[in-house]
Amino acid sequence: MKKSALLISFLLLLASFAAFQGCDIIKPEDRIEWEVDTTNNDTINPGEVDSTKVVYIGDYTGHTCGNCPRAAEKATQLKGVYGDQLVVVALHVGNFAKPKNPDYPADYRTAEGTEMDAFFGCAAEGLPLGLVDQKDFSGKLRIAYSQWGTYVSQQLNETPTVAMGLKADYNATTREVSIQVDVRYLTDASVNENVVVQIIEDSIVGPQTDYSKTPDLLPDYVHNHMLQATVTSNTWGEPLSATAISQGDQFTKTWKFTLDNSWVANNCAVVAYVMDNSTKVIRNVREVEIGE
Amino acid sequence: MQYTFPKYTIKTALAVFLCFCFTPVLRAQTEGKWGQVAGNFQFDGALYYEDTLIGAPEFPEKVGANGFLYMTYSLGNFRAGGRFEMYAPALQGFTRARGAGISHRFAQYTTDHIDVTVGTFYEQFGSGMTLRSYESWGLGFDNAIDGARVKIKPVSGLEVTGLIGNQRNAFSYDLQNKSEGIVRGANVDMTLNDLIPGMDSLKTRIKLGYSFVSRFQADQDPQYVLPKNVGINGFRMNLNHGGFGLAAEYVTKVNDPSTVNNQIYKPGSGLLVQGSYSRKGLGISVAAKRIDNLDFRSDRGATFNNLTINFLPPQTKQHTYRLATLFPYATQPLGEFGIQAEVIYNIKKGSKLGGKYGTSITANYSRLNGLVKTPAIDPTDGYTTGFLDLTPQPYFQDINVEISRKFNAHWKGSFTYLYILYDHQLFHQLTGFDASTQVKSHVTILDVSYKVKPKQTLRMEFQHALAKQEFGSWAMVLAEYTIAPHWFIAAYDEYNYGNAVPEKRLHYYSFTGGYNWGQYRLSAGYGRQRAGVLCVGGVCRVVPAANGFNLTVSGSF
Amino acid sequence: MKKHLFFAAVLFLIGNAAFAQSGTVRNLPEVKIEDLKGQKVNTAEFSNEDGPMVISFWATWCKPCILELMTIDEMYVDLQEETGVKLIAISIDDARNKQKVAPFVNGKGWEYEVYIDENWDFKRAMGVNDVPHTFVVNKDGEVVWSHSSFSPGDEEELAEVLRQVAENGHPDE
Repeated sequence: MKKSALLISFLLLLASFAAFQGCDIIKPEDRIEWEVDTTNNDTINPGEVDSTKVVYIGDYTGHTCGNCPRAAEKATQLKGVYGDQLVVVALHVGNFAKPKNPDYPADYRTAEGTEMDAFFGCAAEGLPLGLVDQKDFSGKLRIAYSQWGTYVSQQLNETPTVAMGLKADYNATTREVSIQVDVRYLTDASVNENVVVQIIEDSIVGPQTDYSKTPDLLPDYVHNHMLQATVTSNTWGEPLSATAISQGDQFTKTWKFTLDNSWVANNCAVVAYVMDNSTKVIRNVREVEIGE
Repeated sequence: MQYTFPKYTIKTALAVFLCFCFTPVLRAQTEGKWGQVAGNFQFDGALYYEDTLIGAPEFPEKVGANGFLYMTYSLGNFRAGGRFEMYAPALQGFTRARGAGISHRFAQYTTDHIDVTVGTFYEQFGSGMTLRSYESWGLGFDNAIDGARVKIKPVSGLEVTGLIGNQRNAFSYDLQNKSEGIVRGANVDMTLNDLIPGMDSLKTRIKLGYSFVSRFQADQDPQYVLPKNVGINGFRMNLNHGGFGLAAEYVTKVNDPSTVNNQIYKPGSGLLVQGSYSRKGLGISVAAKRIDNLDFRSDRGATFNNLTINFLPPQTKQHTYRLATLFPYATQPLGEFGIQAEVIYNIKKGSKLGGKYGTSITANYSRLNGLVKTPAIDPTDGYTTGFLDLTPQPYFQDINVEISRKFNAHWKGSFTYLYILYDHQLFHQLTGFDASTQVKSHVTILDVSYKVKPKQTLRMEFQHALAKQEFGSWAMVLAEYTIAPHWFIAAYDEYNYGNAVPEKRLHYYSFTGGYNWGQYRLSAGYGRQRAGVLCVGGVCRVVPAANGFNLTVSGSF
Repeated sequence: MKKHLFFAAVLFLIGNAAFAQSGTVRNLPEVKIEDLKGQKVNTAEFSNEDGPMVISFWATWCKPCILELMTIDEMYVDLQEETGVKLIAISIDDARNKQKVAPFVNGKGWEYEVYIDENWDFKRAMGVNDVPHTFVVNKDGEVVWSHSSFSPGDEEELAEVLRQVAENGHPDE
């Protein structure tokens, strides 16, 4: 007994030393790889009905959340890698998004953002957190920004289940946007399929807490992809079909929406996504800029 | 879908409840060799009201409840057990939203030489800086490992442990969503006095230890090449000689870019040295610690208290008086240098100073500084810092003295004073209180008890925290009346009279009553609870403001 | 879900079966914890030939625990003479305070046998929710009484129980 136990102990020890040797130490020159397929990036014409898979990131954030700028930086980095194949929407939610006098007077929250957050629970868990296609990756629904890339690349490899197109015509005089979404299903689906249309705005300058800076209050921080409004009548969108959907079914929906006077039209974009409303998982998404 | 209320919860809750009720009833007075059962349970329920004044949010379901039942069965060398947990839905501030399930189950076989566990288990290597899995019900913390563990003790003085498994995720109430990363560990503890012939008679006892823990997690990041296998290893030594004790541990970790360290490849390290001396009536302990980029989790994307593999012991006194807990400090795993010293002295009974029953004095000093970090040339390396490159201002400093004395058969009392310095940014991050300059606070606490009758005691606490920052000064009074061995009632009021904003000068009051019956305990109360941070043993949980009734039933069998 | 119900039912049955069999007789479980010098001891081997044992779970940060141990300390010598009792104090302090336990105990001048249950193995095996939690074990090693929490005056009941256990091996009903 004693001998064999002693032997096993030494084997265990040896194994552990060996395991330490087995650690992966990455040399500085090997740390960043750019072996990403960027060939398809700028070829999406959002107006055309196209089956290219585009991935959605919902960046749940707040202006007094000191680590949230890290998430925004990550989103920018990933946009650099994936271009048009990635759509980012920043939702200001929870306590971190509340106006706080005197330094943070702005209220960037939206009723829809608050409703979505109540459902997904990001602020309750702690910001920054994000959703990738609003999908639960075996237990991971709310994802830390450092792992967005992992799941975005995973989602890009998924076979698209809908082809879609998005058009937006803007009338600068009336500030009215005419929006058209075309969807073609590449698989069968239930009746419970929705399309959500939102307006986002870039380059909003306002205060933001950033713990990596001293002092940590940045008065002129640039907020991008900020959710401003939902065009569809409901936060969770409008149903596409009154009956169960078969492969090949096509749907076209149109909306008219007037931009708020406080928004800069040139910085605004329309985002439209099709989702399975029973799971809220986004099948495909498109973004088109307004003021061109 | 995880957001719908599962119907089975009610049923299972009922089953568990029946279990509680009938288990003691079914006890028979027979003596048998069929093994024995031990266990415990706790149920915490609360009814919440929205209170905009103190910022207590609306709790949509009005009622929240957390409950667990833990049971072990042992027969000879064999032991098995499990824990059932339910959240219907979880109390405010807890993350397990809703549901019920088996969160823990194990089978274990133990002899003098070997100990094998299969299932969920808790383990700690050394001081925990390489690995510590544990649970804390009140904090909603549980990072148990689900897998297998073997401990072998081939000869006296040598113990080797090996383990492998996935960790429990704080967001799941059962074992459905375990960590993505796999944790593997090995540990050896040696007592030289037992191992080396001739040393057993030495007065000095020396123990050496080594542990290695590694995590495997696939790399799917499109931008970065991430290490799939990340290891941490620790060397330690323990020395005892009479009243002297010395313990030291040094750990290093290889590159581990993660959400918490902001994706840097810098290796991590930690050093902890603790010394102590004591004789009857006097105890002295001193400690120093340096932590640099040592956050280690079984998922590189995990944040907050989730999926931590190691534990970095805080070098601060653990306070329990309410107003002293206004200033919680948590170890900063990304960089910290701390020192602590504590002296306990008992003035002899019958001496002039000590009085008839003696007087006990405890003094404690702790100071924690950050490390000054210079950005590295290669940004993926993060930063560089020297061993003693400390921030000029401390993150946290606490000087405190406690004197306690029994005056006569009726009166007993203690006086505590704390002087706290706290970095205002860190204070804001941890507590949510506003402070635009370094926090300086003087806290004084008087705790007196008066024995009215042999089994009835009135105890009162008078607390005051003086602070000039925005969150201001606080005063608190507590009165507690106990009728041993069963009843107690207590009431307190915390008053934030010095808040810079007049509307925030609020009273936070609470009334509680309870009944103890042997190993069972029931308490119920009503109160307004301030938002704050609840910390136990270095782990903190944010507790939101709440207004409402609460009920706790707990027991063991 | 059925799995969970099933598991709960199994736990329940095992629990009740075992209770029915073992009745009120319970011994100390076999768990390894450390003494103040870091030596491992087996909790099943705790014994006292002279009388009952008190096993008290405590922590250096727990005010009621310290109050309990200080209160008992005042009457310990008398109780020992009367009942032959031995008190074993089990500290559940973790790495944060573990090194302070020995100075603390010595500083307070306690005469108790003190052990550290850092990984909470003994605490779990004994079904302890919170500290303080106190058990009384008779000469035959059977756990015959337990009480959670401490209020001043509880020591009177404990002393009474110890006298009964010293005499009859179990407390009077």
